[in-house]
Amino acid sequence: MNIPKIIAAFFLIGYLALIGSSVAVGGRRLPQDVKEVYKKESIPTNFKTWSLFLVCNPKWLGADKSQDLKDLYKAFEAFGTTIGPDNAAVWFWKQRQDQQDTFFANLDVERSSKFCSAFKLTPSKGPFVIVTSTYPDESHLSNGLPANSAVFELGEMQPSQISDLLAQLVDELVKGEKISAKTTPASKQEAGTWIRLMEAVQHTLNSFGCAWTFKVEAEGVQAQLHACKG
Amino acid sequence: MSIRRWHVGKLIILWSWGVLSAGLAITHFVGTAVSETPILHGFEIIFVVLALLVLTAITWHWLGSKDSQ
Repeated sequence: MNIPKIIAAFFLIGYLALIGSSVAVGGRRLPQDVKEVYKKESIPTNFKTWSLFLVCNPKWLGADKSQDLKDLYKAFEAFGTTIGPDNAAVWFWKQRQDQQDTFFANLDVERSSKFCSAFKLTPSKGPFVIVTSTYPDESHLSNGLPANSAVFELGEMQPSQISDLLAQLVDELVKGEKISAKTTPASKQEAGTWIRLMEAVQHTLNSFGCAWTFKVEAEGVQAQLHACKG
Repeated sequence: MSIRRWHVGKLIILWSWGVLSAGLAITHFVGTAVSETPILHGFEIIFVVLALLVLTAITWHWLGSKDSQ
């Protein structure tokens, strides 16, 4: 075998190896990358938990909420990259497009709405984050909300509250903790009136407590006790 | 007719424990953020109000009779 043939064979083997490795990497689904599901694609399996971001509130598709929705998507991206390879964050798109001007047209609202309807969620309280440790099988949506699921209603939440909630969820997912009911904004909202009432009582008591001063004068020595500083 | 009343000492003991526990509860209630532990705060404020109401009712019932002269 002459030298040119050896060199050619060497390059051919190298080329095939390069193609083979790229196909292997491209074909393998890197769990942490799987977070955006496009039309006709099924939700990826082989995860411990799935966090579905469902946009089925028409109010959030309006012009006045456009920035909030984009912020939510950014929060989703940050969430998806920090929850670790065992947990999937899912956002539904119609097709692969990176252009910002097609953001709303490309949202797969119909698919989200199917979930919202099947899980009996009130659209006006959305968008929703559904965290579940049971695979959300779209072929069995009629079974309703999967077991071991938590529903988070983001509709009435401020961006900072959404960030706090997602940060808390990341903590619990990374630690492998069960998503606690106390995290759910629904329970927070129900308790919101009571919390405000108790905070008002607390404020009143604190104000009342600060109003008194205990003063002792004895043979030129004075002692004063103030309830609060300042 | 015999009139049976609690000894004042018993009421003092009751009030002492009541004020101590209510004081601890109210101290925690005003000293920590409600939003952190809303349920606990709820129990605390209800306990404080109920404790004072119960103690007042007991005292009212057993010592609050009208004495005719």
